[in-house]
Amino acid sequence: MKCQEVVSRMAAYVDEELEPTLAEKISAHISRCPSCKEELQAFSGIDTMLRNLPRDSLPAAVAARVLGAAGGTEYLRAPSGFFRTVWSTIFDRLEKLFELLQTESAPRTKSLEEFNDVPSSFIGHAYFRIIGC
Amino acid sequence: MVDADFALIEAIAKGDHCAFEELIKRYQNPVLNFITKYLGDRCMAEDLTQEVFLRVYQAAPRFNPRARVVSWIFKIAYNLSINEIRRRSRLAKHAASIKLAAKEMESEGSAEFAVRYELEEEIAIGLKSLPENQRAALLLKVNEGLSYLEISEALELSVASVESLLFRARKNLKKLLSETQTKEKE
Repeated sequence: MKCQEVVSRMAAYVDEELEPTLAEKISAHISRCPSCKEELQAFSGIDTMLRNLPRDSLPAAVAARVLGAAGGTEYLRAPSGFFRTVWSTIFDRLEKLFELLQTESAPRTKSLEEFNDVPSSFIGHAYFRIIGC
Repeated sequence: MVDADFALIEAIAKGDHCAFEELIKRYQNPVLNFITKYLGDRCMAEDLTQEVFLRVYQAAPRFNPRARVVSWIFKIAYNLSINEIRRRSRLAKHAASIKLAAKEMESEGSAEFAVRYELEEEIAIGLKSLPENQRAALLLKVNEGLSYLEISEALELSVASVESLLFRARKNLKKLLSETQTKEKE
């Protein structure tokens, strides 16, 4: 084999993508040709440098976001199941009940003073006086 | 040869969330690393990796069973990266940030780390200087271990073109690195 032929197939040789017979021929040539050997070392050196570059890992939060987003797509695509509907209804009712309780426990009036202008002849006047005590 | 990932894609197409999780586990780091090195931008790579998997999820029902899953996933990653390069030119900014980081480390006295960083910087700049298709082919082959056939599918090229790209990519990178080293010596 000529050097030019060997060099032209060097990438496939380094990447082990050649037919075994051709790869053997190239190996034999390289073993006795210093310039082709140098070319091979240069190619391998480039690969080593690239492989030595730091490798990153995808943060778990990012992967979780993808799964979450895909889940959202799925939810929109497919109608919810029985349990999801039941839970949703229960939570809805509980939320309304909680809102109602909050309203009940909240102060209904700031002070009885706001009823001071109620005329004393009005029957409610006595009631306000009683609860004011 | 049966593609081991094909069953996962079939399951994902049927809405199987566990299969999707498994596919993410298998490919999240290869995809992230390919995009990171291709773009030279780690933050953008994270965003694009998310986008790759969302597209995989959405397109799973339309997956062509004759294609290889690995080629298909990297094809999506490659296309998104290409779009990103066309939309924004962030690479110069990245090179500047690496330089700054190397300088900071040097000033902190971590000489060994700085030398390593400098070499990484040279490779990053060398990679950046390569034509887009050469860079993609080289990263898919050397860093992600794809076969010529898989790369040819991902980049929509013939196998012979992939071999040629990989040959030229290494030649060019070798030339660029030796030029940088010569300049440094001067």
